[in-house]
Amino acid sequence: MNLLRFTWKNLRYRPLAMLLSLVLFSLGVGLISLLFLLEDQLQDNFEKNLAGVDLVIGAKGSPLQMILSSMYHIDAPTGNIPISEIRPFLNPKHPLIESALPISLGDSYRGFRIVGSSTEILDWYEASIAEGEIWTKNFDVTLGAAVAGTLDMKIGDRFKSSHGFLDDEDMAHDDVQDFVVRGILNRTGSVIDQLILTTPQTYWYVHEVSNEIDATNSDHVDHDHHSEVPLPLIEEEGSRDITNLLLRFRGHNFQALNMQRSINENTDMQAATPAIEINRLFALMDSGEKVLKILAYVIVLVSGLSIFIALFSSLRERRYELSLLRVMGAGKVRLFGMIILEGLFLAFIGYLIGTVLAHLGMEIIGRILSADYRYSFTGITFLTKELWLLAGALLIGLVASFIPAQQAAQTDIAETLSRG
Amino acid sequence: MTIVQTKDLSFAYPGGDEIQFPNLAVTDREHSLIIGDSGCGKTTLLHLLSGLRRPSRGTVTIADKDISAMSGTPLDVFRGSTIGMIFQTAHFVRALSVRENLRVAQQLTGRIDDELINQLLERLQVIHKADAKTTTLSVGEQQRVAIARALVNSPRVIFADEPTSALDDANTGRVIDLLIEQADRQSATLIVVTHDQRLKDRFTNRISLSS
Repeated sequence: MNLLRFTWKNLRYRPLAMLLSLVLFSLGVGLISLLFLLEDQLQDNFEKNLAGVDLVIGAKGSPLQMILSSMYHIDAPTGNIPISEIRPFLNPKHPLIESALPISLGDSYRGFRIVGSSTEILDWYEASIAEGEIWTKNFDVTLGAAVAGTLDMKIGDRFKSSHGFLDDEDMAHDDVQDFVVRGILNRTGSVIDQLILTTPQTYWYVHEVSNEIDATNSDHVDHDHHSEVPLPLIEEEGSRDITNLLLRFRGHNFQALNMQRSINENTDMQAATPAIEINRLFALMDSGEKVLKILAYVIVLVSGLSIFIALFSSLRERRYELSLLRVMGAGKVRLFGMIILEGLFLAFIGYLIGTVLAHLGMEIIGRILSADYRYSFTGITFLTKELWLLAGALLIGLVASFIPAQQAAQTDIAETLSRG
Repeated sequence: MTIVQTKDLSFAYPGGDEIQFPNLAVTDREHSLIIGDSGCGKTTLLHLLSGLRRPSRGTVTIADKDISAMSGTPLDVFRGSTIGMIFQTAHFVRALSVRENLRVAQQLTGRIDDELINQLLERLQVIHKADAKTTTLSVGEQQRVAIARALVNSPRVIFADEPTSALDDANTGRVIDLLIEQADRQSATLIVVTHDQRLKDRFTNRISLSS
């Protein structure tokens, strides 16, 4: 019989005391591991979707909200901005701006957001077309991979959008013409997977019609003539709205930095830097995370203590057994190693259970989050940090079993045996 | 050839008087009885003979090895492989089955011999309990398994500490028969330490300890 099996049998012989240590230990490890996973994937998700955006322009309101809605597509937009205000930024010859990406928001289909934008958005998010073609005309859409996958939609499918971001049939734009699926994108892992892309102008027609109907209450309007290739946004006449404009700068010089301040001070719009806002968000989450982490470490420490107590108290009833092993030829070193092994074994099993629970939990959280926020989190990854966690767990097992092991090695065999 | 020999052996408990033991010389295969009243230091002598305690003076030689000069793991291993011990009450590693207890005893000195284990369990009529936990055994079965364990490494010497003190006459006779028979079959020398006068007639070589 090998040493591990011997250890396992000894542990299993005292299930209750060991169970408590194990439950505590796996709870602590699980919590830490879960925090690692969440932290890593949140950061990953947020950073992947920064997409090199230097500045976001939109209606005044919370800058964080504006960033979250325009770039991460969680939260509601702050409002709309007239195209006349941003026309200078759309000029390809602008000295500071390398490129500008319009974003129009407000409608959705079965919970997936419909985003009016130029086809440049594909380059920004490094997306490519998987089948069909890119949207060119109003009311043509190209679907992100997750949208097509979740809703099981194909090229040529038609649907009506609904107002707002909830999957709510009462809010459907019933009087507006159908959207037609023209293409489906490859999976990128970024937020674009979760979007339904169309032209910015489509939004004008959708809401123009809604307003017309509200105003005149006419039953039928023929809108099919809207299915045309729209002008580039910069050439559009009149003062229509888009929701946000995302900017990439040519270089990060003083003037570029100044632009944000001058927009905030001199216009009715606001400009915000995504990296700064996201860092602020992380800082907010960080303090909560810190508290949880401290809690987790305390649980792990307490569980280390409970391993210590479990082993130590098991020695009392095992003293005779240990003496017996000595009589049968086990040296002190072996008894010492035996108890250490029991501590390590407990820690290792606790680590395994905790890690499995954390990944399972992460997968469940991921499913819930992806239903609510259209973000992909997964429990099926492994971080190098978790190896460090294993090392830490084993260290605690080692430390917790050290004194009991020493006690076991020092057992006075003759004394124990003569007491019977 | 002498298998167990002591010379000028004495032992002192911390703060206690020194106990002096008569010199012993037990020939190989000559089963012996060390007899004395309670409190005369029988168990202490047994512990000295098996290297569980270190004498304050004198030497203990087992199978030509001066174990009073040995210590640490070499002594533990020597004891495990050369000496079989049977205690007044049988104790086992409770987490393990009967067979596993015997295998651990073998493993600690390096060689596992499942065939010998089966033979011993068969001979001692506990083979049907081989895979049972030791806590489910009757007292008689426990004692037989303890004997099997003492024999499992084919020791040269078997020390038995009061193996019969809790038994009635009939069972005492049976256990002593069994011990002698099994020791003979393993070519081991049996040394029984007891105060039990009933055992006197069974041994030709008797050593009396006086308090």
